[in-house]
Amino acid sequence: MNKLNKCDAAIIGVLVYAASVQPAYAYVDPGSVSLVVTAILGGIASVGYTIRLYWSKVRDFFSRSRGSHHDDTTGRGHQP
Amino acid sequence: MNAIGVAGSFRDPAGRVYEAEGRILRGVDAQAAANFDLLQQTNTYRAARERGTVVASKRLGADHPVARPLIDAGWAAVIEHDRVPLISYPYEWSFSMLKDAALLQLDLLDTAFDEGWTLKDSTPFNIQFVDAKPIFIDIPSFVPRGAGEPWLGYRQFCMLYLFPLMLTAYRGIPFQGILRANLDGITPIEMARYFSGWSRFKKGVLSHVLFPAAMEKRVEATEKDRAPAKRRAVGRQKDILVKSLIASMRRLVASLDIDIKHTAWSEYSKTHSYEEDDFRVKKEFVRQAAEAAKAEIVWDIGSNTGEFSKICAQSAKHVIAVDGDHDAVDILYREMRGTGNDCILPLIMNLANISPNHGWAGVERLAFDQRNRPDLVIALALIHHMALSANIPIFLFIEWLASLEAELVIEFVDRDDEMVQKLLTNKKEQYQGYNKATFIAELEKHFSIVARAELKGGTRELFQCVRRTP
Repeated sequence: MNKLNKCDAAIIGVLVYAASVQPAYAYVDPGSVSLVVTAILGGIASVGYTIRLYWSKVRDFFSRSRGSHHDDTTGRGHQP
Repeated sequence: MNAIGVAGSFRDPAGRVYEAEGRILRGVDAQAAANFDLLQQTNTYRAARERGTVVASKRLGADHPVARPLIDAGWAAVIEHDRVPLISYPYEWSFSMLKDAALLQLDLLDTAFDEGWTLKDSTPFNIQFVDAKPIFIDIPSFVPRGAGEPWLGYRQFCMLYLFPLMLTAYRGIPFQGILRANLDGITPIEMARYFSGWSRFKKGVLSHVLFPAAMEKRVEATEKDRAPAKRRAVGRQKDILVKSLIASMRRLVASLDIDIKHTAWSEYSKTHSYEEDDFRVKKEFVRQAAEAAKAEIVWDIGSNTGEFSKICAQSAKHVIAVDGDHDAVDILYREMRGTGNDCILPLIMNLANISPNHGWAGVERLAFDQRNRPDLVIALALIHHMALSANIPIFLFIEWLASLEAELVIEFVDRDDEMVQKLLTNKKEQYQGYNKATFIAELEKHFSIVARAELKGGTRELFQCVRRTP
């Protein structure tokens, strides 16, 4: 199985309640649900984000004595 | 002065882009004008300008001669943007190009967020490539973020950036044709249909595809017919939630990648059929023709990995390298980006089916040959593919080249060439009309031949041509 991120793992449970395929309806705005989606995904992501933040502080504390510094909580290794 | 509205800029009611006297102007309403004044004071904007990742822009005074007509037309203010030399669309970009555009979008959003700003939409049509470098062009997209405001462009980001990248990275499905057909991108429900079995557990699929798709199906099921729409206000979202979602999305996008395969053209520099001497003659012929044309903009159509684009780039200001082979184009882009010598814009396109006029009223997104004009076109060892593989008659192909009103370097590959023989081996139709005499006769209807050079013992020949005055 491929790598699951934390969001994926938490979302498996949420998926259970909606399985049937329905056609699109002209007066229905399915995109309006993205406010709820971002709230849930943001909540899950914030757990990992907070852990990363504190982990980087702990790592910095122990690595300071070796003169190195690392504070990348965003995973930003690649600039376009 | 006559300002012409740019067709693709009508969607944002806060402003509209116009072209006047070769300048790019944006009429904006009072709120967008005030936002622009504030934006210029932010570190986000200043840093992006220093890195060259947002287009250079300035307010014009209301009495400025080019601004006056737009003020008279009812806009509160006019912003002038630097002109982007070549316009391209996401459905012409390679995987790495769309990925770099996505990362730029997220980086701008992330830094803006830290200063209390946001980007109100997330469309790759707001990004252009200046040669091989992505640059954000839609300045009014930057707006102050309301208290507790969620990431409003999240769904659009998924539909136009994340899902196309996932399709190619996870399923090996090229996104270009899908984005060309769906200018608003791929909906979560459509995207979910591409994933079954274990592929549903690839990174980000459950959270950003299947979960939103399930939610949207639920809305469709419960609000169909005359059932009233429910209010879905979720109150304010804490900053940490929004920031975390953006950071999580960035890690996901950065993790998506593809394997470059040995496709028909991706190894052209090692696998071409020329002897070393012939290849040297061909390179020198192209170099001299590009210098003689004093071309500012060159199109290298059928560019493979850009061997000849690079030669043209020595004398031209900008080169568009177009090829239908994704991996060849992606290799060229990866080589060009960040080199500092990147005046080549690589694009993917089937030359027998170039990007058309489409979108609203058929003019929202312009055809490839109507939005950029070349000074020189090079079409090297392309005509046999057009004539024998795509069934485009020689006269039609040359008529199209002539319609570009540019100088031309074209290579004819004759019937006895080994590669033409290969193309004809299993065809019932043997294309007897495909021969050098017909080619030259059609060429001379529109062009004057100024130089010729035979290659490979005469099975191929290069022609340098200038357009005949009609």
